[in-house]
Amino acid sequence: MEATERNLQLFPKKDARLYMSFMYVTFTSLLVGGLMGLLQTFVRSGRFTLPFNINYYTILTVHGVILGLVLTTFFIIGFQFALMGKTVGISDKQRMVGWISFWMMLVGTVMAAVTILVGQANVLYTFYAPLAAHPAFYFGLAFVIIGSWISAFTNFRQLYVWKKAHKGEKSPLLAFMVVINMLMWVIASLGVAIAVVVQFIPWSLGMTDTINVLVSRTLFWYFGHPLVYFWLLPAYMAWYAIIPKIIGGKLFSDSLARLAFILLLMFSIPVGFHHQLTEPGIDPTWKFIQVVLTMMVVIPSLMTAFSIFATFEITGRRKGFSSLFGWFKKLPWGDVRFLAPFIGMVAFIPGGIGGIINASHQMNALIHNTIWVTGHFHLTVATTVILTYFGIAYWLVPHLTGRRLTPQLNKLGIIQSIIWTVGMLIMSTSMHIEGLLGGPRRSAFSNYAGGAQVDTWIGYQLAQAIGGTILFVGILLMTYIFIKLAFFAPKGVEEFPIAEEDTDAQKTPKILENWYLWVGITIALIAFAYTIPMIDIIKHSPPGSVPFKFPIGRS
Amino acid sequence: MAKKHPNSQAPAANEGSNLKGTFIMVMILGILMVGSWFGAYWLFISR
Amino acid sequence: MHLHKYEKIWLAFGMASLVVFLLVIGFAAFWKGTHPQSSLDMIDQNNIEAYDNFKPENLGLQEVADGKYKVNIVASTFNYDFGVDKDEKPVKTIRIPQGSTVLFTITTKDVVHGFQVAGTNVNMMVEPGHISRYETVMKKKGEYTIVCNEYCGIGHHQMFGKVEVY
Repeated sequence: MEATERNLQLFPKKDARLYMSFMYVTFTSLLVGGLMGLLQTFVRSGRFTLPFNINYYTILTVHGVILGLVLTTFFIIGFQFALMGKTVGISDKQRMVGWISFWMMLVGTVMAAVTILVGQANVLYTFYAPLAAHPAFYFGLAFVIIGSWISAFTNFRQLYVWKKAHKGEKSPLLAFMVVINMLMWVIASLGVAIAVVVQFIPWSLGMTDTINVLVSRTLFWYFGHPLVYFWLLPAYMAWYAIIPKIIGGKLFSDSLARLAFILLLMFSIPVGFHHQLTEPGIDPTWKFIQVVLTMMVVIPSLMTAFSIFATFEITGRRKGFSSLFGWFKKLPWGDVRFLAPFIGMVAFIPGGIGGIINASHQMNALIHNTIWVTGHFHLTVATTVILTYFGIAYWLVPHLTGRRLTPQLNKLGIIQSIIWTVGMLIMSTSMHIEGLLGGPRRSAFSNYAGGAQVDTWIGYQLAQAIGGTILFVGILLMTYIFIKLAFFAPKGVEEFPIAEEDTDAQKTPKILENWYLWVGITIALIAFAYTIPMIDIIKHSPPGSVPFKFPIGRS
Repeated sequence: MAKKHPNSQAPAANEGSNLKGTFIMVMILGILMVGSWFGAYWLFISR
Repeated sequence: MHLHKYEKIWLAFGMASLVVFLLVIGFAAFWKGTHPQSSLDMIDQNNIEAYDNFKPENLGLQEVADGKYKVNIVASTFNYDFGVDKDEKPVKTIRIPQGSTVLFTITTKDVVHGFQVAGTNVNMMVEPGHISRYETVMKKKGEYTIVCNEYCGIGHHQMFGKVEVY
């Protein structure tokens, strides 16, 4: 069969090299960022101080920037390029532009990382004004964002060229999903790009005296929430279109998958106020409107939950398991390409529920800026998303390097997934509880004013250090597996598992590919949710803020 | 041996599929969602 | 496009739950006035004393009526200014009788800060040029740590206070 053949056909070397470059940065980031995370949990346990006068907030900034922005963006772009290459192909010119994007992002990453490491950007990954980092930090961020746009437009071009050559055919599902994710990314990162280029860079260079703090925060969070969906959508791509193949099944529904992605595009952006619920200067009615829109973005995830279970059940039943949950027992638990993403799916249940609680308007005061939030996104991004990425890497990396995931490496992968699960269960659970008890996030160890309440927090922080240590062991193991898959595993052909539609599947409605319509609605929703409150914020602006360097230790 | 799926040839591919297990799973998920949310709401009210 | 019967039921259930959540919080917010902290009042962060609440003599705890209090606070790196006590020493602990209604009003002289009375619903962002305020009833006795919960610089974790409800 043609599709099966394609799944087993390795990429040309020059293509694979581009995709692998993104993977090298990804796993280097994992090791560096993970080490920082380990140190943070140690410091917060109160039993350890950092050597060489290293500041807690330096490593916290490195952790957030390297894992939240660099690891994710590089993995996503590399994975998506591979998906596009597999489904619609890449031309020489597009590959070259891909390289430009890669280098631009890498230069930006190095600039930002060095600035942070020398202590000139202790501003955390949210870099809230008026804390002022060295301009090189903002330039670095700008390069990463603009570099990623180059990839986005290359992906758009790839699908466009394919469509021209395949008149009347529907686009391959995965290519469609990549384009949705990149559309969302470009529309959303415009916000942070404007903040960085128009506000932060001139301000940090001294070309403007003051910055409008609330505008900069609003632009950041206009980007900040779609950012988390930018991480999640590649995981959804794997759940919808890769996992069915791994478990020996078919796509549940091509149209429903596309519909879910369209809904995610429309509703992930106009929701940034749910990160600003306790802020002054924003009308609470507009906050509530964005809370309503936030609840809308839950719907495609409800659809996804059903699709996944249904894929499992249909596949199992076709294999002949007819009892109510027989199909569940017979899933390929011994295959890490399935197990790691599966654990990710399970983690998304408490992760998603926690998210609904966080976004519930006044209830946000219960958890805002407590370490509950940290526990929440260590479930969503650091478990759901990252375990799915690992699950992808187990076949993608050997497919790119012309090697095989051997049974031993598969077994190590399973051990890795279990270590991760145990570590995260301990760390995230204790973060959630400590957060409900009021323990703050983003803080070095402190006894505060002392007393019973603080003692309880410190107990949970000890548990977090234990969980963090287990997780770091998992990171070391993952790095080992990656190196093996990249350089030492036996040569061979690892499948690129893309699931197919049933031969008797229903036709996908044409309207799902009406880009003008969906992008139009997306922009209209953004305009609805942001225009009036943004005008309000700008019209009722207090005096701007001068740069503050001393609070972050810059002289 | 495996029982041949009677509906896999039907035009609406998934309509006839037996998805009882799926339904139970998602409903458990839904109940968890509602339960946790009201738990958090209760905590908010009680503070 | 076709939805399985069970998927229709599931989505209906899921969406109905979301609607219920929104009705509950919407009712509480718009009819009972429990919006999250969203003060629209502004201030010149370079001259906060022009605003009555933040004159030095008005900082800290004040009883406004029987069982009604207000607490005015100025945040700056890395300190909360709750005023001074009889001996001219900076106040670090606010003592409030159980069951009182307390209005916390706070602003910042420099960067963004947080203000949370841990274990209560008093949790707000404090931003330059804006005033944040939140009113609550201190229902339970005990000691509550006040923490700055938004990163404000390398001394962020040393920014705290305490509320004692007796």
